[in-house]
Amino acid sequence: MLDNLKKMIYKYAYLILPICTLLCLAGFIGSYLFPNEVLDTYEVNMKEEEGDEEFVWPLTGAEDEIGYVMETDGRALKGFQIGISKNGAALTGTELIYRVYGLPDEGESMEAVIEKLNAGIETDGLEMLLEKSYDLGTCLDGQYPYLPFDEEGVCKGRLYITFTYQNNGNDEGVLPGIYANHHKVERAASYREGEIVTEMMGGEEAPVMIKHYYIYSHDTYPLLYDCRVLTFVFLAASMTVCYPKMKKKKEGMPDAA
Amino acid sequence: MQPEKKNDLIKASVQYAAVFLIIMLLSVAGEILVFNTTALFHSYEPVECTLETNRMSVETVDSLAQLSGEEQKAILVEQENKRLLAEYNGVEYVEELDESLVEQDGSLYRKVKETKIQIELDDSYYINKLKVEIPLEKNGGFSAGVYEQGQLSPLDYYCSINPKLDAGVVNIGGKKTNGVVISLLTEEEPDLSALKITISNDFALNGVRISFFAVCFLTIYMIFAGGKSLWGLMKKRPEWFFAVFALLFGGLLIEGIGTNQVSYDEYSHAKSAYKLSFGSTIETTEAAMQMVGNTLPYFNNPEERALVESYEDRMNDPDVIPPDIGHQSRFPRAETRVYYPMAAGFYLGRVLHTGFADMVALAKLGNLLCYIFIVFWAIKKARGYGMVVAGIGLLPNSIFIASALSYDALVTSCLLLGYVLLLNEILTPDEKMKPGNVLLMLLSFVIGCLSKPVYIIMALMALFLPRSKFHNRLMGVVFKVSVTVVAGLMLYNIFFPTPVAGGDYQLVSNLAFSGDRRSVGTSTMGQISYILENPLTYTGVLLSEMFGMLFGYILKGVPYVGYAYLGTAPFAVNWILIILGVFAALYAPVRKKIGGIFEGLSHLMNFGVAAIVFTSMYISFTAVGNDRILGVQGRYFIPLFLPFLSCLFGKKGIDRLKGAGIFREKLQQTPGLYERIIFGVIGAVNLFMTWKLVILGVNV
Repeated sequence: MLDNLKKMIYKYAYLILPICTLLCLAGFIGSYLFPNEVLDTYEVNMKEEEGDEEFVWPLTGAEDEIGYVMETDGRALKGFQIGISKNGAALTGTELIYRVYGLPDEGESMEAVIEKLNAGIETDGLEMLLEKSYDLGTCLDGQYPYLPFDEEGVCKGRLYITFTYQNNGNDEGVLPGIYANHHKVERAASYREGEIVTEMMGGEEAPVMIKHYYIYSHDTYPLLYDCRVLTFVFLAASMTVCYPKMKKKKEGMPDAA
Repeated sequence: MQPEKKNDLIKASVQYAAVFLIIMLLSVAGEILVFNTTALFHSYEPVECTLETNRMSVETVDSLAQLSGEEQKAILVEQENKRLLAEYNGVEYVEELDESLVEQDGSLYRKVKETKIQIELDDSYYINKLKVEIPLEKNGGFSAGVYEQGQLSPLDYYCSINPKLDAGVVNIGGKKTNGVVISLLTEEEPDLSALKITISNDFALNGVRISFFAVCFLTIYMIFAGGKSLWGLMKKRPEWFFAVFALLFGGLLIEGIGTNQVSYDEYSHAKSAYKLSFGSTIETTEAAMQMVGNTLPYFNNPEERALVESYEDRMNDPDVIPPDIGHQSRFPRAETRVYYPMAAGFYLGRVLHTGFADMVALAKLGNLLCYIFIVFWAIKKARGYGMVVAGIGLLPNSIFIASALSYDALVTSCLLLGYVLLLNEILTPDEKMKPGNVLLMLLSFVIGCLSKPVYIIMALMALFLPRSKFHNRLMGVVFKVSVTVVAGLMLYNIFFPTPVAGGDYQLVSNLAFSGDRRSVGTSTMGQISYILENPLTYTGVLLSEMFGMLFGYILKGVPYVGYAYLGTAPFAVNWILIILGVFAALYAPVRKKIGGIFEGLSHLMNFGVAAIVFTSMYISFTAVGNDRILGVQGRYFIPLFLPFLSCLFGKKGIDRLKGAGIFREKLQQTPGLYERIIFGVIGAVNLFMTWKLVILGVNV
């Protein structure tokens, strides 16, 4: 069977190889025109400084929101990863609700905005860019699940992201929480019920910061390299085929070898 | 089936079963005689010493421990990388030294606590293993000495204690003693109440060592006692024997080395292969995280191996530490696809829920099987010089990288297959090229060069194929232009790669900051500018480095054959393999020479590829303007061995020497003698190295 297949391929090599050449050329053009989007994970606050220890910031109720203010790097933020503590429970059906609000950009620096928000932050009057939920039963205790934002890329610029939960009838009696520490993140701040929370660390007051990753994306051209190289590989191979016309010509020549 | 054939088959089956049984019995006997003699006669219940047993005296003092050259270099590299990152981010870099370090006389020392432990035993014991258990936060270690006939030996037995294991085991070698002295070094004040020292001499059969003996006996049987039918088969189908030997030697390495990351940058290859074993969402367990960060504990003997593997399984359990989540493109990049054979092993391990060490072994096995499969076809396709290819394929360096997590095995094997197909065309100038062979040849070169594009220069030998290989002149021209474009595109990608995925996107894409992060002072653009500004100086550096390395390996005693960081074989092995290679090429049943033009071109191509390899390391791995070229390793030239040896094919001038012609006749007449010499010598070299570096190194 394998031999028959081999014979057939050899027989039709004069068709197969040029077609493959053209397909690779088409793949090269297509790959260039339709890039593939890749998610990039950026570690923002995952390590504790000396003397600091991570702890769990519990989510105590639907009204009790944990918030985070940040500015994107010019690209749209495609998602967020935060550490979920389930305190050993399964929390099947319990949902983490996350909302993204756009903060008004009046041309001032992000540091100035955060300074201004030190007094507190209200979501009333802010434009809500998206609201989504994540089933906490699907992640492991202590894991940093990916919380996707939107595909269109509206989460851009200065953002206020809030997290709360909805138990949806789950009666395990355990509160989920978010991992946090006291590390300072440039041009960002964490909030609880709209207020910055500070705690004593090493004799000084330090703000609490949730541990997290940012998820951005960029375009790649995964088949571009292959297609452009393979186009010429198949072209080279096509040049070793004895095409039917050439065969006929040779057969017509009495002295042909 | 005819009754006669059936009888022959039964007879052969019984014979091979008996051989197998004898080999297994001999292997177990070897294991007992070589490794368990003292335990056989002087075994006892392990003696445990703690502060409560009152068998030992303990005293802790402050001390300093000098850092090794490697540790000091690692600190320098880390500082340099921090400086670069600060420069890239536009912030001021302030050099800081860890508080636990002290600089004295230009060297770095670590502040440590030294605990001197003296154990007096009631009676004389034959000590084989000495185990020290103590909970630690940071790395520690101990040196031990024993009393032999009342005299204390030097504290020559050293063992590190990894805080992840809280224990270290050292092999004392069955010495008879009635006392032990231990110097325990720790960075923190040790909790002596938890200190436990165990002395033992247990009878223990070890699977790795028994397998080693079995492979040795099987090799001896095949070479010396296989009989005419086996040797005839060896002559007719050398590719199958290559596959068996490669699987045996490689399997031993995989089994013997375990999760110790001793191959070249194995952690970095492990990272790519592990990631590729997932789809777009990667779940990295803590054990995998430590593997890719090169922070998994190492073992030096079977007892430590058991501790390490138990720790790895605990860290690989998602219920103990939840896996980290990351993302990647669903379509892996071309350079990453070379990791598929290893990724398949990781995937299989996860699906089968094997232990962590077994999953890593499967990943390595995937690499080995892929290597064997490709080289198998290279030997099969070679027209008369299959044993030369088999010899190159069985080089200890080649088998070692094929049995580790590394893409180099794919590079070596694909380049071997590609060049074999090209060489076949060179050796048959009057035959037209077949499209299937050409496609396979070019694909082999392309796949082989995905991760190391500089070798694509080898494919350019196809540009010199004569007009008679093509159906008409135009087709020949288009073929040669296409091959040139393929090579050009692959080389172009080195300098202008398609965008990479991941968080390091911006830094890697920025040529001004690119350079190898393992080496201090590198800068791709900086080095290229330096070469262009000082072409003559660089040419001098290049030639002196190239010929320096060549003469080093053939004259100055630099060992070539090696198992990476596990160690190298003695210098004599270089010459054994050089002679073997020349012998294999001169006596290969190849009818035609490759011809004067191709001989010259082969040497020129080898020189060119070698120069490019050196230059690429100068650009990416060496500090700007250095008068040495760093990072070039002898193994990079393995793909050039076949082009070099091919120049000796068909040369019968040696037969004029006294007795040489008779030797050629003898080789042709004795069944499989030529093949047995090659397999025998290369097998002996492989087994010698495995014994020295793997069995005695980490399995006793």
